[in-house]
Amino acid sequence: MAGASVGIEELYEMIRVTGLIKEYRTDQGAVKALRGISLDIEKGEFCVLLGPSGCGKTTTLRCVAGLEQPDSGEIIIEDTVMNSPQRKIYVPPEDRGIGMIFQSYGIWPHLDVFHNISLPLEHGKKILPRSEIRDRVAEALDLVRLKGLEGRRATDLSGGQQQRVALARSFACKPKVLLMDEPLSNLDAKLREEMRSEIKQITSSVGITVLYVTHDQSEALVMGDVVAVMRGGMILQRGSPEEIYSRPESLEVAEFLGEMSFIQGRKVGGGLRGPHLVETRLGNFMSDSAREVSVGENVVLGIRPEDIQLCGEKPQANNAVAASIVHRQFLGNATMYELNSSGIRISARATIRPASTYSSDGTIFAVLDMSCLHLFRCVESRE
Amino acid sequence: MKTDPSSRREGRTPLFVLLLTLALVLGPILTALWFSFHTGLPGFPSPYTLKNYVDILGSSKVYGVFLNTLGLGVGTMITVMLFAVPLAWLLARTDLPAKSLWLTVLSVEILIPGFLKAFAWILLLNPRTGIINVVLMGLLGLERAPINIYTLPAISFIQGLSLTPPAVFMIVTAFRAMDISLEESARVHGMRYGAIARRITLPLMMPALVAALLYYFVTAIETFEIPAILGLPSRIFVVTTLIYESTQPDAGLPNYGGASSIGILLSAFSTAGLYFYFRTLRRANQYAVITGKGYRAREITLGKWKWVGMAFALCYLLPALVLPFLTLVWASLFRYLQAPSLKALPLASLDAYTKIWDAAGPTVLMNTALLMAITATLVMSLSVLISWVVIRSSFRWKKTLDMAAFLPHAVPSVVFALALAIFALTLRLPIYGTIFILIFGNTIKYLGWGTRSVNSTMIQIHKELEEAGQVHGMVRLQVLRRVILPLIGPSVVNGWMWIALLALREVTMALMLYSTNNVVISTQIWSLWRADTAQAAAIGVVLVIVVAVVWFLARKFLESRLVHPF
Repeated sequence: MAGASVGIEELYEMIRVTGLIKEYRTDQGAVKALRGISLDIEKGEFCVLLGPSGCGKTTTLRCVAGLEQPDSGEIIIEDTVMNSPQRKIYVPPEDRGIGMIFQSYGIWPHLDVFHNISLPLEHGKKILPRSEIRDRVAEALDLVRLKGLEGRRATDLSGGQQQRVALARSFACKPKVLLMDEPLSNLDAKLREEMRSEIKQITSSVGITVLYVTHDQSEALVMGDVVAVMRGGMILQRGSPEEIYSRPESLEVAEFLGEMSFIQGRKVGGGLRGPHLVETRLGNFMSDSAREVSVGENVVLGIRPEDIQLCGEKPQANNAVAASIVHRQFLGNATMYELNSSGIRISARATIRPASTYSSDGTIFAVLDMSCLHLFRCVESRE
Repeated sequence: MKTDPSSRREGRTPLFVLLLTLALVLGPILTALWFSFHTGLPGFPSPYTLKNYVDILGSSKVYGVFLNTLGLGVGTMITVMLFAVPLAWLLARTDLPAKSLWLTVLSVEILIPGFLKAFAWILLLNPRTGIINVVLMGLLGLERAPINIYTLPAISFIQGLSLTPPAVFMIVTAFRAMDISLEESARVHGMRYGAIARRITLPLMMPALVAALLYYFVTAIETFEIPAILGLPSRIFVVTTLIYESTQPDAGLPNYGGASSIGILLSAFSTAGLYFYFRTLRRANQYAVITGKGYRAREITLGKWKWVGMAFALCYLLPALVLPFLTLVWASLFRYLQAPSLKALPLASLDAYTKIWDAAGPTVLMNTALLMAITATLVMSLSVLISWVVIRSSFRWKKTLDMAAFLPHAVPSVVFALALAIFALTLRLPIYGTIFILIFGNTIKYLGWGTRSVNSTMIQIHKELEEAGQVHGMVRLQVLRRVILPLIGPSVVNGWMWIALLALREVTMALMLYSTNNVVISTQIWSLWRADTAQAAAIGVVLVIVVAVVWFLARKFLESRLVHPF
């Protein structure tokens, strides 16, 4: 594997996207698909664009590929300006030196595996000698563990194999960056997990820069070195998977990634950068959040199910709240509780064994871990 | 007691539908097959004989006719492809301006009778007085007319022009079914436009194009009106016109047996053609991968090539529609045809239009209205029943039913009309010579069209909508009436309108089964043409305008109500 990555240091570079704006004209009027996307991806980085459908992630990817053009903004791949409407620069996709995996794979059904990989090499900018094309195809097939399937017709391949051929085709072109548009969404659950780790492993062994689009949060957390959460044509937060999960910057990011219960309140004491004392309908809570909030501001507290501790008797600790059990779900390695405290719903996840013994009629107490109690500013509108 | 639950709920309806369809479709065809082994007139006893087939094999005239037919098929096919493939590409894949206008014009054009265009082209290009010929002779100082419309290449060209619109729609569908990411993945990996077209788009489109070629070859050798109008004056026969000539000879007795045997051979040939068409189509469908994402195919920006595209579309539309229509309008204004000039204008009169009511006559209009309304109603009712059995039921013979309904599509109109005539004469049915034999013929002929259209709508309605009705206790026929019909209603109305308009333009069967009692507008125009060109042209002009207006109104009314996939 290491042999395949010789000379990669000079080959692969970064992607820089600044201020992409794009509108679509539809029958209902103009729809803003992108409202100013800026994104830097470092050399060799695996960057995931994560968001619900219609958030603009695919449009962003297709702009980077050159299959769409933004109304304004700039796209740079490895020091070359690929697209800049203001400067009237547009490099077509075939000249960008990229690889791309499509959601439907884009495997040509009238060709066999070999020609699916070799065709771009035969008809690209540079004319490669036959022997080199053969070598490159063999090398690429080796990389995706499909050696020996050169003669197989594309229509006889399984979904997972088509996926691998699509990967091999991109690698054979020796692209600077690899773009992937929800490549796993057409596979069944088991195969998806398998390909997830395989794609991650192959791309990091080759050391290629990847821009990957998905709506699946676990895919994003597992695969990405960097995750950018998108919504409504904007990037809400960009960071490592750990950062995004444990320090969401906004309510929307917190809602989209994992589960979180929310309690509205008002800051009544504490320092600007915490710890904050927050008054709510359920009593006062202390939060260690590093967000800057001044006293008197309306805030929303958020807590993930795994950061709640349950106990049967009233504990001495801070941040405890009495609640009744609405619903209990046994998951095998844990138990999920849906709690109700003065009309506010709280989800808690208990992993210690005696937890499953809480009955659903009595009152129990939830302790919200102060260091994991998130604090968000109340936002009136989402602009 | 053991009964299959679904068959119990469906009852005997599917079996009844199958038997009815088989009787309607096979009755006439089998009668014609039977009669091809007889001589004399239908309805009179005659011994079995192979004479008709022996005659065909021994006749050098028939041999020549077969060659002509082949020539017409190939010529038409080439013309169709020459226009339809670029037009379909422009409409499906590029940002050609005014696309919806082009599409509208093309669909209206399907409804304009081919015989009207053929008549117009005679006025434009006949060797003695054809307007274009006269103008060209004047301009170039020629002694003789440069172009003769009464030749096989000219017939092929005119027929090709009139078959282009449906071909465009067929190929547009194929272009749209192609997964756009197949081309995009070539682009992002560095392939150039030329290479993509050669190595990806063309091979992927090939099966669909070959299928379209086959389909229009078969259609071309089956059609009658244009080769009849342009071929008979110079005695250029193709198979369909030969059949017509045998049953309605200028002198002597009609030769129904001979006509049947040729008709049977032609039908066998076109059925084989359609079989290969379906096989190729299946290949084409294998390539049409339906993708997960509804990403609209990015249109190719034509830029300054836009004008080339527009010019090409006009190059088709001028000879196919604009020129023939203007010629008809011009011809309708003069008792004796004048070359178009300002000098001729004072002679123009609207006489033909003021006399249109007398010329068409109440009987003809009544006949036409009956033909359109009853045919369309019968076809759509039968089609809904058949499609419902074919798409939804667990009926064992549903494949047979589907094929039976499509079979009339494979039998040329001329042959089917002939079969119907023999059928009616042999059984001495009282409908012979009345409007009802035309209704009967048209109904069966358009059954293939009707079931195709209802099938495609019915398939879009999720089976669960129906099952939801069933599990909550509704009987299957109730489900059809209360759940499915309301959902497919607008499409059925749309189909009804199309069939009514197609029956209006139908002339082949109307001529084959012609009697003084069952004259309809199309045959009226046909017989008026020689006697009173202006009058025939005036009726034609009104017909075209009425068809276009009806089409537009129906479109406006139905557009938002047509079924969308659930």
